[in-house]
Amino acid sequence: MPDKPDLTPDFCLLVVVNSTPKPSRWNPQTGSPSTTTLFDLGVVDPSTSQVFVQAVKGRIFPWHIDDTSVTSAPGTTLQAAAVSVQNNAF
Amino acid sequence: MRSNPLFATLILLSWVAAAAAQDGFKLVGTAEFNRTAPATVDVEYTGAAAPAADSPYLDASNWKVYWTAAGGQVHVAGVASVSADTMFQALMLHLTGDVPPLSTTTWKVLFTAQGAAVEMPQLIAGTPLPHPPAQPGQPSVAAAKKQPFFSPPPAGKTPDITLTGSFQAAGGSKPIYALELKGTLQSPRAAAGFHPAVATDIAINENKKPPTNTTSFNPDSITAGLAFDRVFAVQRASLYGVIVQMGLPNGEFSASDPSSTILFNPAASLVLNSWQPRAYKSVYATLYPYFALEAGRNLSKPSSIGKTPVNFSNYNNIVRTVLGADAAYMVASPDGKGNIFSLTGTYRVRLPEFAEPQVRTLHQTTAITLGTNARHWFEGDLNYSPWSFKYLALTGKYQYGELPPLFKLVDHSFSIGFTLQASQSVK
Repeated sequence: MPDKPDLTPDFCLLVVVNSTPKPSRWNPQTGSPSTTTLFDLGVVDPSTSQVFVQAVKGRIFPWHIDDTSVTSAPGTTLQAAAVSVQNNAF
Repeated sequence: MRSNPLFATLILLSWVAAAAAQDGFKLVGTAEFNRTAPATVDVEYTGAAAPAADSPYLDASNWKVYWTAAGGQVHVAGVASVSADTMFQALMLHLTGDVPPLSTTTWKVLFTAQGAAVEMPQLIAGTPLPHPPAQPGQPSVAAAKKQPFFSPPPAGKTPDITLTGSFQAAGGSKPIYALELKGTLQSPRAAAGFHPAVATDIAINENKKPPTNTTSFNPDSITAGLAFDRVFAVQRASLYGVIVQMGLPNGEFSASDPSSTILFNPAASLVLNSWQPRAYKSVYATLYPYFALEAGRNLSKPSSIGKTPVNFSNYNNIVRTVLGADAAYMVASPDGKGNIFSLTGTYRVRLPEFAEPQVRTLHQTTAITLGTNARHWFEGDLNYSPWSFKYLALTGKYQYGELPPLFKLVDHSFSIGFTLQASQSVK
């Protein structure tokens, strides 16, 4: 099993962004994680929310997280989603 | 000229205080314990992108982290260094020495500026973790036990279970109560990667019309089955993921006609990347192709349907290939919690391998045949909920085609209506 990376805010934000359908729409230089939402990056409905949760779970391995612990509603900010990952991964 | 140390100190203090007030930097009063290596406590701040380089907030000696063990004994963790995370606006206190264990939920952070008193001491209570971390690979059972079984649906998420009721009264008739219970209850524990769920759709008195002499609860149709859902994240080209549903068995029983079937219904929905124009951020469209197999057995062989005699002696096995797509065009509300306008369409074509009934009524004459011809179904829904008047939504529905088990033709059915909607804000 690979070593667990540090569960830092930046790592969790990277996981969240790369788990969305359109990660290329995130620009860390011009965007703010507290205002950019999952909707802006393509998580638009319940189906994409479901896939987003599984993508997050795949990207934080070997950390684990419960499906219901990942905040994934389209209106969620990237920061809130990253915090949910950081606080609930085990 | 003689220098005055007290005067110089006062000028320095005034300058430092003015600088601190100018950038507006201040602590929010919340802190989170992070399980990184080394462990950190993140103290949130606001008012400035980052504290000044010479800020006392970046001096590790000004910070102390106190925590208590299960026995009540107080421990003090050292702070090796302090760094600012400008993205999340948090001061990261890198702990050392007597670091609190992961399960610690009672801890406090004390900030006391040493030397010149330019900042007031501040005490920040630790934010408890949402749940004590479990061992790797195991879900937090303790946290699950504390949560109520049902909770309000989060904004933007489809409710797992809904109960819709209506009451109909008419002169010379007993009241008619209509209820529809619809939902899916999913087990939090996965089995071989699939989450088992019980899916049900029960309609009671849905088609009953006045006048009636009795008030009763007769089920019109009951659909219930065990479903196993699994979601795969793909993220290749335009394919974002796949939602696989293994439904077994799924029984449908109806009171309006003598039909009942039991079906095994594995299905897959391809979740493609949505279309979102950059110029209009609230507009998006989705298209999800759908593939399914319906296999099962007919459980009912009536001699007549309505007043039309039928011969269902050879109607036993059911195997259908189902193809289709779900499409949507939406305009989201500014807060992203709903849609102002939605236009959704569902198309399915069922290709039976064995002969199945088909009911068509033309000019008040009902014809029932058995065949293997393709059965199409299209349903379109339009919903318009102006943002300025969010209590009212205009709805429209169009249906055409045939649905199992009897494949009665719905011939261009239109319906237009209003929906009054509200949420209880004080509960």
